Amino acid sequence: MKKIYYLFCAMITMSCSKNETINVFDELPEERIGKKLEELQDKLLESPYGWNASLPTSGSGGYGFYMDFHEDQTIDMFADLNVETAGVKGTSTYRIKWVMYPTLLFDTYNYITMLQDPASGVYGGVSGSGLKSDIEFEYIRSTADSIILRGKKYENELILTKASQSDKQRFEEGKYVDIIEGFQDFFFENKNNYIVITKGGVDYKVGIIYNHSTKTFAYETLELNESISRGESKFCYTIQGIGMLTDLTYADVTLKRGQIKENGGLYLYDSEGNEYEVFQNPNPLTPLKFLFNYNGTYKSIKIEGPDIPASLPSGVTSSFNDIYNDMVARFLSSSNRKVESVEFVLINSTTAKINIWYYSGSSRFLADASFTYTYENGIITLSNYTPSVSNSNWNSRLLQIGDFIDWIMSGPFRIDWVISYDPSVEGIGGLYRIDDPSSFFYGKAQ
Amino acid sequence: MLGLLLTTCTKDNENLNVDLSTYNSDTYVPTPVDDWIWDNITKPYNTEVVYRFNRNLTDVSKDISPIRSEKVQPIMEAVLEGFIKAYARVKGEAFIKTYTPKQFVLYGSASYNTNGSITLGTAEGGRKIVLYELNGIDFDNPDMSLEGGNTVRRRLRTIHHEFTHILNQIVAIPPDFEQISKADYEADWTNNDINPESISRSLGFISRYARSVYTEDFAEVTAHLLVQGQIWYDDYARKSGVEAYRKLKLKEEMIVDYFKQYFDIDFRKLQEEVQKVFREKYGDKTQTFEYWFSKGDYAKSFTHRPGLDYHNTYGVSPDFTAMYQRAVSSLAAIGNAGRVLDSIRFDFIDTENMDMVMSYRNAALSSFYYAAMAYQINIDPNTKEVTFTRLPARGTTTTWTNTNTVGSALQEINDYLTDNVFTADWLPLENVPHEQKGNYAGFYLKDNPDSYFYGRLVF
Repeated sequence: MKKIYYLFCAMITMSCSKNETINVFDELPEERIGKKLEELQDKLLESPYGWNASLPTSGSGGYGFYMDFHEDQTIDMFADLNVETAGVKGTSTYRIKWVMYPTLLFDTYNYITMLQDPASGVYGGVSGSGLKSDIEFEYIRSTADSIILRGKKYENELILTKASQSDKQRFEEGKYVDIIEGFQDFFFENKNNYIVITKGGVDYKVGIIYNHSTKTFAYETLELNESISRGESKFCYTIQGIGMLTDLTYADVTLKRGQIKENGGLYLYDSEGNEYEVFQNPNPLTPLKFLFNYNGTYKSIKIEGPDIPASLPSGVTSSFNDIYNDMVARFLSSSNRKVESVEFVLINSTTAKINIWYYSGSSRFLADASFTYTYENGIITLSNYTPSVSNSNWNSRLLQIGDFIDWIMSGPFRIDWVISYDPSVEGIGGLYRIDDPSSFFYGKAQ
Repeated sequence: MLGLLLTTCTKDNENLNVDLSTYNSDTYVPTPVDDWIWDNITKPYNTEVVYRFNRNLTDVSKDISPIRSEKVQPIMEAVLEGFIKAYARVKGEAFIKTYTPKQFVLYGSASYNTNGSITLGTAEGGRKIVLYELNGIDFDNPDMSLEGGNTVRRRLRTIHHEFTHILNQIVAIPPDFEQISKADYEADWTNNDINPESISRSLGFISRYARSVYTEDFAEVTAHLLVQGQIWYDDYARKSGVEAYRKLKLKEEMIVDYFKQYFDIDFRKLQEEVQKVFREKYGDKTQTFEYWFSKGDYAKSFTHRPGLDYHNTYGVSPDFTAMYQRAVSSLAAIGNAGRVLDSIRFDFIDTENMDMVMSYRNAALSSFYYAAMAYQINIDPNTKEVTFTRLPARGTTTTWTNTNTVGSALQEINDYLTDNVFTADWLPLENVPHEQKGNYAGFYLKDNPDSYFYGRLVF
């Protein structure tokens, strides 16, 4: 008991003496915070000709910017969102604020905000979240010529790299628009693009796929074992060309950027700085049989448009042409019914369907029939013909459909691409009769 | 022991000297807009305007975009003129300085709700008002339509709505108000099956939202009266059914009374101040008779008869009175029959057709007769000037055949209608109380506004 009493006294005597505060770090928290804020602010102002910037979005691809921060906390911006944002300087404000980290806020509306705008009408994406992007960025770190920030909500990295005087000049002269349009033109004019990458002593034709609207860049190649290798990266336009925002690696080659040279050719560069010229193959690089499946890249072949009645894609000679055109004519002569589309589609792993959509007056009708199919090594065999699946229209229109049915039953068919003499026609898939390869059903692979 | 206790708690005061200049508050370099806000809103009314993006002042879980900097001043000018100064002019600066919300927060995009709807504005506790989707408002060519979803008018309605709640916190809504629609309030007001606009309207609610609870009803009626205007309110009420009309007018009456009794605010004057801002600052055409007249389905007719009570109050056109007197003599002289002219009624059949109907009696005053003339109304789409063209008789009933006998009495007035260019307008506002403004209208000679004919509209 006595011991407890002494202990109690000792506790009382010692309890309330307050020591001087000892900072674990040298300075008070607010001083250290202040320094970090100043560091970010100074860093943003450090580049005399502003910054090239890139930002991936969670809802779509990547986007490129030019950003020039001013001391009065205004910012000038160009962006590769569209021709206007690339060619007309946008001005707004920014500020630096402490929220767990030093944070850069684009705090009034500018081009970068269009990606974040929740209204899908502004720049696409989902209503309520747009392209899922940020306008608040945490300062992660910086190097001598770059600043790395991270979006507060969607956590995508905004990377700023110092722009040169000529970069700035080129942005202000509207060259950014030329770059973007140059790439769009290149891929409009050149189909079946590929580069050659050597792997294990074998040269592989690696197809490259560019998508301006989703801002993604992909490769696709057929391996010796007939499997498909594919990789994809978000990309953004830079003032020189395009830049990949994530690693796009095939074999040991990591593609980093691309550029259209003065000779009009497109060249890609890997992380080592090696150059890869982009060539064009006359046919699609990957045979359709590797891509066509009920759960594959393509699952249907569809004849549609551009007008009604739908006509076959131009520039192709097939003895199926007469079969199809006669069927369309029979529909027309039967109370002016107009065929809108004819589609061969794999519904699931065992069932295929033929869907014929047609107009009678202003009403649209479907006539359909189904088959059981087997699909082996690109050969499709149909059996178990079942007319009028969804409704009775197939049977009612049997007279108009006529010998199209006989043709469909004349399989098995080999599936492959169809090459048109008309260069504007692409992505056409066909069902070739094994017995007579000059007779094939064809339309847009979808 | 006690001594020990007393001496133990010595305190070192050294670290109390906190240097606030090193504290990192959220500030930024002001721009000219900030100066304008300071001079016009923050300094005089002690109200903060937050337009630089701040996630914490809205729903942190949502993606909401900041406002475009060029939209800041226009929207705050609208708030200043259409809300703050309107109250200040009617009730004095001290009143609005005391009660105005202390924080306006502005965002550029809408706030998207999980059910697919969007929020355009919110208010919290009478202190803070948040406005969304301001980037979508065109201030250069303002849309002043009464139905517009994203307009200056719609935003001011939100603000007046919220401010009404603030007033209700100072003086509670009189219990009688709740009784008017007590049986009809519906918490699930967004439900399209339970509460479509057709039902809420027929029950005497000014909007679907008004049906949610009586406090919102009160705020909605107040905001609509101030921002949509009295003419719109009356037109809405008249077309909602007899019982709805009664309830809506009763609610209006109680609100006018509430403002007068508890705040000594002349609500009619307040309405006029708000409407004046729309007219003068934003070129609001929806307050004109010409707007309602050319829209059609506003009023059915008006009648001119000498000695009507309001002629004493608002006067009559000497020009038209003289013409009417000559018509009286002319009618009496026809066939020496001594017919007596009673009145002339102008019937608006639709936006393109009008009838002028003369009502008269025989000499013995024992029977009434009618004689009508048909006109086409032509409204110039640009100038909105009105001309009338005589049409053949619309029928063969006595109303039309009588005209063959007595129509000549109205020849002069007929020529007055067909030979002149008119403008359609209300009676000048200074003559008519605000709440009556939509009830008196007529046609003025374009080149001589002293020559006109008008009447109390029959709806």
